[in-house]
Amino acid sequence: MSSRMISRRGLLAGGAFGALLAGGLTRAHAQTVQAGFQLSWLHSVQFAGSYLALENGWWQESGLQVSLLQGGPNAPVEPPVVAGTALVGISAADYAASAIEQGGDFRIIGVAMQKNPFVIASLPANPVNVPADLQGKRIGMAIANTPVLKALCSLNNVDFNAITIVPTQYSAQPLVSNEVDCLLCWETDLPVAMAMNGIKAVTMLMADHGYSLHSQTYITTRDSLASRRKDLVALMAGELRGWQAYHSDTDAAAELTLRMFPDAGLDLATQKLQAKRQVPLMFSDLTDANGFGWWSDESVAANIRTLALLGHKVSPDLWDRSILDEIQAG
Amino acid sequence: MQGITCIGLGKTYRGGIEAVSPLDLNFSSGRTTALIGPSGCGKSTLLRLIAGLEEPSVGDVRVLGQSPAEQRRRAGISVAFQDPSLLPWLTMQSNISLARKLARKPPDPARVARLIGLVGLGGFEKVRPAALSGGMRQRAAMARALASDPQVLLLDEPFGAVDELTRRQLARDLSPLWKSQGTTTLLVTHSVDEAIMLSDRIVVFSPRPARVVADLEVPYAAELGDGPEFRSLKDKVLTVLSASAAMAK
Amino acid sequence: MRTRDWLAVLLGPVLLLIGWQLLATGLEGKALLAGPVEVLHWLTQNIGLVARALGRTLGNAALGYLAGNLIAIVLTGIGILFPKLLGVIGGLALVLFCLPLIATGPILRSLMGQGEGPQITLAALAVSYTSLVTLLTGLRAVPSAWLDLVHVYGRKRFAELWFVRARAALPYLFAGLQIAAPAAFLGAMVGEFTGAERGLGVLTIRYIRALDVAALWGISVVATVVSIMAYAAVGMMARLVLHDLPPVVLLSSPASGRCGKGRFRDAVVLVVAVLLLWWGGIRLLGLNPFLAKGPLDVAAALTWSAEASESRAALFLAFRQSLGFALPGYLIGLGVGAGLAMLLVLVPAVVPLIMPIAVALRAVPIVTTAPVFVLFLGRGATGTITLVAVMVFFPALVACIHGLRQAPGQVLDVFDVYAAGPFRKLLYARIPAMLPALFAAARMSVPTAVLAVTVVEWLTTGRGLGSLMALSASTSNYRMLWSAVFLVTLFSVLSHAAVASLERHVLRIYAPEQVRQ
Repeated sequence: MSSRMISRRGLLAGGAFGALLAGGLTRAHAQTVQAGFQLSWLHSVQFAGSYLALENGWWQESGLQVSLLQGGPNAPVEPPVVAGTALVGISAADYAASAIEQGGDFRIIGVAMQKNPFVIASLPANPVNVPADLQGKRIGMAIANTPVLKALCSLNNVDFNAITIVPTQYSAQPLVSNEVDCLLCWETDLPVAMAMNGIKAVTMLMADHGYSLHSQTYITTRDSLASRRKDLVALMAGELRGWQAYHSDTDAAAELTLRMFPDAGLDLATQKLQAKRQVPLMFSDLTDANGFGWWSDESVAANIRTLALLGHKVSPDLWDRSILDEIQAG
Repeated sequence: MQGITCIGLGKTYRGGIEAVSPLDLNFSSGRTTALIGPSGCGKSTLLRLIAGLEEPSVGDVRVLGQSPAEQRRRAGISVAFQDPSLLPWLTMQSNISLARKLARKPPDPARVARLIGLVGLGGFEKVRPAALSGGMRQRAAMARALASDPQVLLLDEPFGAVDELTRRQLARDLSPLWKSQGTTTLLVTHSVDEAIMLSDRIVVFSPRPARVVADLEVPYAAELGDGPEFRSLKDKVLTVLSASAAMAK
Repeated sequence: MRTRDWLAVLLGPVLLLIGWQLLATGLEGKALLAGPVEVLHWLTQNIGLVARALGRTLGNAALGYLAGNLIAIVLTGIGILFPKLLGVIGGLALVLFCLPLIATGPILRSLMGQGEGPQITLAALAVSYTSLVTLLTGLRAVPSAWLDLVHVYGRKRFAELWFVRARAALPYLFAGLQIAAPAAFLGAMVGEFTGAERGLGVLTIRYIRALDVAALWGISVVATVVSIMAYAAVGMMARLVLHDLPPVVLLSSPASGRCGKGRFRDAVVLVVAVLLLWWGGIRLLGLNPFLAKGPLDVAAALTWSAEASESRAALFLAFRQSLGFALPGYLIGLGVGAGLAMLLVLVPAVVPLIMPIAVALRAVPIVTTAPVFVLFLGRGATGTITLVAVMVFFPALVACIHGLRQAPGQVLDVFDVYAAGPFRKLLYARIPAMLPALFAAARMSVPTAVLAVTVVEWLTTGRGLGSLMALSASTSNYRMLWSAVFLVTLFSVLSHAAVASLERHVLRIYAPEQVRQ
């Protein structure tokens, strides 16, 4: 309710542009409830489970009209969730922790990536296979990620000062042109881009070396948990079905992504490879047993330890499994 | 009292430069008065004060019994500026008819055409100012000043860029236009000949700040030009001018 | 035009293409540069995709362009009819223009929701200030004698506006419309970064990550060509309407001839107005306090809160870094612009060679080129400084060429009488005559330089204020974000005022007619 108030007021304020938007916002059906779902980045197979849920009408069945809101470099996730424009947003444990420190009242209600997707990518001729290999290397990364590297070092007793940080934009180019020896990036983007350009990369998944941090987490506010519980259950139930379908055929998921977003500049082969590569990060014995999005109490404890290394103090309350419990209970 | 009256009228610019020291002067209705004096003596400023384009520092001006602002509101005043200041995007003809528009008077193509003929610009109606010579632009500006049938006409060296022969011809052709209408006219000029030929009265100013050093009536015979009356008057004006210039030094 | 002239015009672009291809061939395998052949191939392969994205971006840019210019025209009209408001209107427009895109984007998105709103608004914001300034200049660039003419007939401001100012300002309006065309395109692209579904900006983000060099350069080329075409189209329209060329330059005089006291009053009113709008805007629009921080929040964050000293330290460190890039880039841009202008006046034969490149550099949308430039020049200081210089240099070049030609003919004749060579003419007559133009460009380039440096830091180098703002947004540190926005805006406005004051001193000597009451 409050969400609609806000967007209406926004519309009035938008003045001349309001009319342009009105078309997009007045498609509420009588029986269905609207819910915004804020993604963390541009459309791609990274969110293909949600596309499957949308395409197959799994949200519609339970009376939920979900609009997927694309992210981007200048589209932070938390504000629309706080404002209610989005019921749920895709964030990560560390971002959620800092949002809470800044006065946001968020809860993590699902975890898409059990394993953090951060990797150290290098070239086979000069590989980084274990954290100790980092010593003496030049690593290309955003300065802002320095705490991440520091955490990895302290988790593995690696001398942080023996590594040279080269500030780079988020691109594989510096590695390809040998300006750096390795990159801090996601398993599912830059290494995939390199592979598609015929360059084989060695990747060391940081999650395999103690860096436990839930990624692509579903966040919502405590307010919504109390007042829109039914919608949250419906939304997450759809997600679960969507990602289960994704798991059974990642190629089909990639094809659907391209069909739904023909103008996004996506490449089918790249999307298929990316879809395959993110499977090990999202699915495990744990999710096979409890369903997609599930997490264990041990992993929460490990997350809290990693977050402490990153300078965040959080309590286990940040994770709220009540929605998944409700779905499991049927 | 009608006509144009200046009562203790003076203008001092910021920084203490006195352009016009307080003057008491009256210019009678329907007559043409020439204002003559060395350059920079403040004649143009006086004209601008009378047109109400500048506020006096001291004193007051009445134009036909009203303040300049009221008189302007009734579109009673016209000015031909030293700089012709035609609008570059309008044709010569439109520049002249613009005066009637600004004065909120109905268009009068016949009058505009007659003025264009009188200033010798026939055939150049559709030409833009950039393509006219300096003298032609001044003549157009003169025609524009007359186009709105003003009651008060202020001419600031209107023929400065016009050659001597044309100047005489213009004086002969144009002066009847305002004289026959009973227009109160002030003419600022450097040319003693022009002053005598065009006006009924000549006021001679000292170097800055302007004070009146001579106030001479022009007999009708002198206006006709070149007779002994003309020469004696011209000598008189020149003597006064050089005497006051010498005193200033 | 004769064949030889055509050849001269084509020479620049052709040399550019050949150089580009040679460079690309030399750098093959480094994933840096795609040559024209490769780019053309990519474009033909993806023609539909690019056309649809371009259509979307162009449509938003066009709407924003219309809205922004309309706003500028209305504001200008109000300012001319009520000159007392002029200082405040100009100041508010400047403040809005100086607001960093990184901050305005998410706010607009959360206000307007899904759709094209933020893209159109950012395009409008990107054009309204320059159009306002140019128009005001045009409306003021009227010889006082023309206004006297109107006053003589007892007419007031409205007749002034109708009969004289409006028409006299037309060339300036077109000059403003011309620079606004690429600016609107850039605004629309940046707007797409806030989560738009389609457009060239979206594709740019995609291809930076995908290491798709051919695609990245392809998008850059398309964006550049479209911007240049828009720029040229407005120029052609101007020629049709005006019979003569529009002035290429916008020499606005600085805050006109208000006296010191009047300027001070304006400044106070402006500060109060900005604070009121800031505080009231948040309430009126019902912005969520998590995202929207008011003046008090920022004051607290920077002065009396527990983390204030830490925040201040972070801000000033970032500020120093940004200034370290922006200031040299700004000065180099102005210097190169002025220097090249002198070269062009001394050796007119190179004009057709240089000008197309200069126009292209101006029209290129910085969000596509920033990554490409940095790929090329490295992430060190060179890349950032170069980009700032590129953004600043074109207005300076055009203004200086105009200024150098301003030396009055008679003054040059005096030099000719003494058989002074072109070099001495340049030194003693043209350069002094150029100074007012150079300073006008310097003043107008202040927000441009700040925009350039923050965008480059945000999108590529990860240092300075641009990066601090992006990072603050991603970690929900909106107190820091708003503090940074406050600092950036304050800095831009103050620098603008400082250059304007310097300019007034210079004008008093070199162009006294421009500082009259």
